[in-house]
Order: sequence, then C-alpha cells, then structure tokens
Amino acid sequence: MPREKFKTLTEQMFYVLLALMEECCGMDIMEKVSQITAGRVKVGSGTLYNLLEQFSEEGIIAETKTEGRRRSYILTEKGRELLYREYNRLVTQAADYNRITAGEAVYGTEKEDRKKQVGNMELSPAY
Amino acid sequence: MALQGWQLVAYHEKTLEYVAAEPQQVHYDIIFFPDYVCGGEISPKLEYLWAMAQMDGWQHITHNYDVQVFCNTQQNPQPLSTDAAVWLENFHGLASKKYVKKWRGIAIAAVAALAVYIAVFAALYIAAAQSGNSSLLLVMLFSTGWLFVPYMMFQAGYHLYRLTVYRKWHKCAVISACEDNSVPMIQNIGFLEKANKIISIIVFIILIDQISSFVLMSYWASFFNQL
Repeated sequence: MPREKFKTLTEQMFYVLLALMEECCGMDIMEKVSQITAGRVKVGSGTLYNLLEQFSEEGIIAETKTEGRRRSYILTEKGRELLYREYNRLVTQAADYNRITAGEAVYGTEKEDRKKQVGNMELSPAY
Repeated sequence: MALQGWQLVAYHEKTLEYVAAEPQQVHYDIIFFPDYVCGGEISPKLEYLWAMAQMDGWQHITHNYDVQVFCNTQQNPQPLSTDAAVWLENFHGLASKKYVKKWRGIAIAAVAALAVYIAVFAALYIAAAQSGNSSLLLVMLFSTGWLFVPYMMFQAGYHLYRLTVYRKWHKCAVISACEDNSVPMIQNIGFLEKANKIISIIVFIILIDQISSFVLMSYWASFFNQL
C-alpha cells in the first residue's frame, strides 16, 4: 500500500519545517537546520529543493518573496498543524518508551547518550 | 578520471565525454529533474535548483534527459540528496510518469495486437474455408505469424517483467528508505534490454521483407492477369 504523503515526516522534513517557523530562504534553511541540530542533521541542496517544491505544492509552506534566485518561504497554518502533529507523535513515542523501560537496565550506548545529555551529573538508579 | 586530469563535460546515453584539465579531486552527484526545458528555454525551476546546489559548492556540468549532473571540488562535500525517502518520492514520481506508463502501454498494446491478429486471421480463415478461395491477406498473415505471434508474446512478457522488477524494487526501497535512509540497487536487466533491441531490429527487417515481397507478388500477379 502506498505511504500517505507527509503522514509521518522524516527527520530532515521535520527540521526543514521547524526552520521555516520564521521566514527564510534556501541557504538560511540549510544553516538553520545544521545550527538547531548542532551539525547532527544536514540537508543536501537537492533534497531541500525537492522538499520545498513538495511542501509548496501541498500548501504546507508559502513563498513570501523572490529576489533573483533567492526565494523565501514561511510555514502556513497547514504546515504548523503538520509540524505539531509530528511533534505529538514523537512525544507520544518517547513517552511510551520511557513508560516501558522505566526502572530497567538499559544498554551501554544509551547510558552514554544519557550521560552526554545530562553532562556529568549523577544519573538516576534506573540508568 | 579527474585525478588523472580528465574533467567530465557531457553525459550521453551510453558514453561520457571528458576534456583534459588540471588533475584534482572532483566529486560527482546527480539529480533526477524532469521537464527541465520550458518553452525552449531552461526552466526557472531548474535554474533555482542550480543556484541552490551552488550554495553547497555543486556546479552543474551537464544533463541527459532527466538526469542533471553536478560536480564539487570540495574535500568532503555534502551529497545533493541526503534523505532517501525524498529522493525515492521524486524518482518514483518521475518513473511512474515516464517509464512505468510506457512499459504498461507497450505490454497492453502487444496483447491487443496479438488479439487483433488472431481475430483477423480466424475471420479470414473461416471466410476462406466457406468460399474455397484464400485471400492474399490470409496467406500473408499465415506466413508472418510464426514471427509476429512469438514476438508480440515476448514484448508483452518483457515489459511485464520490467514492471514487476521495478515494483519489487520500489517496495523494498520504501522500506529501506524508512529504516536506514538508503535505497537498494535495482536489478540490472541490461542484457534483456540489449536482447530486446536486437530482436526487434531483426523482426522488423524480416517482417518488412516478407510484407514487401507479398505486395510485389500481388502486383506482378495482377500485371500478368491483365496481360
């Protein structure tokens, strides 16, 4: 069965939309995504072009101005809804994960990730 | 090739064209971009894509049909496509519009041609059996049928096979794109494509030869009848 378009967002789609909460152009989006994620997620220009085209077609973002080859976009109401829905989905997933794994031993890599997140603070007994 | 001093300048259907240049490390990447020409000129959408790619250090070199080729001389450049799901969506849209429709159309046309052939042949055969005289068309259909029927069956089968291979690949690619942001290689059926081309040329020549000899025969028959 074909996947419904934008029913769930990939990581890059999510961050591109997040970057477009404020009006910005292509180059700014790439920089913003890299900044938000501390360089963890990088969007290639081909991917970004395709995403902007598809989001525009679906009315998820709107073009605000064109200056030569520079085009600026911003999230529409539909886009905000989509982003919020995806955020809720991720939060629910994370909550489910926490509920299921709470109090249990976890893998070393996860333990290290947690350590990174909280710095050198004392970890709770669960971790 | 770039390290050996050859720079890619054009990409033809089967060959790549290089010119001598300063040896340097060059990375290449491609993007599928249909309808790049708009009213005889490069579409503004494509120009925008070039501009965006340029921001990442990618220079447009050439294109062939729907494939846009870019190069980058940076040490470790960011690939043009970083999201497999987006790439797949774009590629599938293009393939569905251009190739899948064509393959399906050819398969249906081959089956329809086969059905028409059988219907006409049967009608002429019954008419000939009733009147006792066989028409020239019936003889022509009969003598070319040994080639036409298997060829049409081959065409239908070949294009259905291509469709099946593509659909199977697409199904796997959707899963793979979601799971690990990658797209698997599609099964290579280049040998079948080549075989199809060669067979088509041979069949076309034989059919033309047979049909033209029938037309000539009928011409000479009517000529001698008049004498």
